[in-house]
Amino acid sequence: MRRAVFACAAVLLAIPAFAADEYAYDGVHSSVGFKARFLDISWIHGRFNDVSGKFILDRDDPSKSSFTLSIKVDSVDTANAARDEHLRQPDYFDSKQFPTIEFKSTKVKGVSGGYEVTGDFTMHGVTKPVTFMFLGGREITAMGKKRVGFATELKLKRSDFNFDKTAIGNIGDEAVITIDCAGQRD
Amino acid sequence: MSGPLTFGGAAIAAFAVALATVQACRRAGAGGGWPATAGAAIAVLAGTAVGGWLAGGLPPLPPRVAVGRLLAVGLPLAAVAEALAAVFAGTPAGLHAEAHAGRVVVGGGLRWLVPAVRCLAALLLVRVLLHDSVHLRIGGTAGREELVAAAVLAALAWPFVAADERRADGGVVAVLAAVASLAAAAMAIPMAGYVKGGLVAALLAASVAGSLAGGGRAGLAGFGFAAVVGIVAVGRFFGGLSAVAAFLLCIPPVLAVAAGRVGDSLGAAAAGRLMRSTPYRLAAAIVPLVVVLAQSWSDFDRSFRRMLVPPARADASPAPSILRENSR
Repeated sequence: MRRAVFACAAVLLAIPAFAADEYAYDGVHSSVGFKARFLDISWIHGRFNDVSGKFILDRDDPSKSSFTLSIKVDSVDTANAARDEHLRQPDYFDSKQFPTIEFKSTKVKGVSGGYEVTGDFTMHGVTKPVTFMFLGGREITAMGKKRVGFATELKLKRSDFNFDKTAIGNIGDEAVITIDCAGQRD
Repeated sequence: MSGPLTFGGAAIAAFAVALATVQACRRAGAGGGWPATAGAAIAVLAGTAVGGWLAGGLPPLPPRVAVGRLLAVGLPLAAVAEALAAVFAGTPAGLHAEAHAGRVVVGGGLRWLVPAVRCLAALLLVRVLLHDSVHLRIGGTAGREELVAAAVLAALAWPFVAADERRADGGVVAVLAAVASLAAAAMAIPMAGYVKGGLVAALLAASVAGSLAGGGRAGLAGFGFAAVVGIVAVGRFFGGLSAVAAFLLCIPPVLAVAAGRVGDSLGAAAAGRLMRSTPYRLAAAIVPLVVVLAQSWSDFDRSFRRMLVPPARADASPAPSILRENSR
């Protein structure tokens, strides 16, 4: 009898673990990019090449879903090695002091075509709440894995994240972040 | 980004504020001992703060970035260390012992603490600068040996340079060498990609020079060297300054003091007189700075300048016309 109770309890405790699907960030099929105005006449485009993260999707109860992303600042790539080196220095990202850009969701709401995600965005040592639409989430099976994809675009002001004010001039204060990412699970 | 004019204007303001502050401290009675040392350091900090404020380049408080920690914690720590050293030395810092003959010597029996205080302050300074950075995280950087070497060398060199204050000139040559190092750092650090670091180095150079011009040389040899070590460490460990450049920027005050010591050991010989002379000691300090600036310009020309000025602008060929190209 006692064994049966333990078995039932174990099954009941295990149920929540199966209710949500956990996906690892697929670095091969994802990209985190950005663009910022140059002298207010053109755009400078760049991307971060080293990103990791995790998506937990609860399709029955989206509020139990979560998204985390971690971006290595040193992986910044604007197709110009000298500029990348400057961006890593304290005039801009200060990668030795603030080596990562982090996002961790705090609230997820299911909406048509995806999720409305609110969370803490930490960059340059400053954490600010942000909300954006993460469109996607349809799961398919390909290349032996179950896969989902999401996309969003959000605008941030560098001055909100304590970037050096004297370095905001030639490069616009506002940066547009583009996240196109895929997640995968077995 | 701050331009050269902003740099220059802020540096002039820093010089003037440091000079005025040190003279105000002297008028207030801080003419010798630890008050004079504190006054000279406060003058440097005030000059740097005002110059930084004018240039719009003061880091926010609490200081989360290295240059902010240097200004808000590291240099005040160096000032306290120099003031303590002046107390323990017993002889009012920056003035000759014989000039104070007959005065009550405070803490004369604690002279052994003078180099110990400066050694400890050097280690603390490096630790403060690296606080919460990747350098102190496990597996954060591969250059841990360099960090230890930098801290140990700073701990050994600071007391050596500061002791120059006991010479007849009150350590002026060591202070001038520190100003030269800071001025060179103000050029080398931006050329390595960290413009704000160069601004702070320029302000420190101007402030130390202002304090010296105002007559506040007490403790300034040690404090000036601490400023050199601090801003160069920021440029090296957070900016793009190379290890060789960082070493060459820090070594001039040591060379200036070492030349004087070697000259002392040679006595009255001609070589000894030459090595003790101010021009020779300053020349010994400036040689490594010339080398580091030449190398920095070469590196800058190879990388950053070409990013700022595209090669097409250097060509004499006319700009391509899209219409003309399309009609071919």
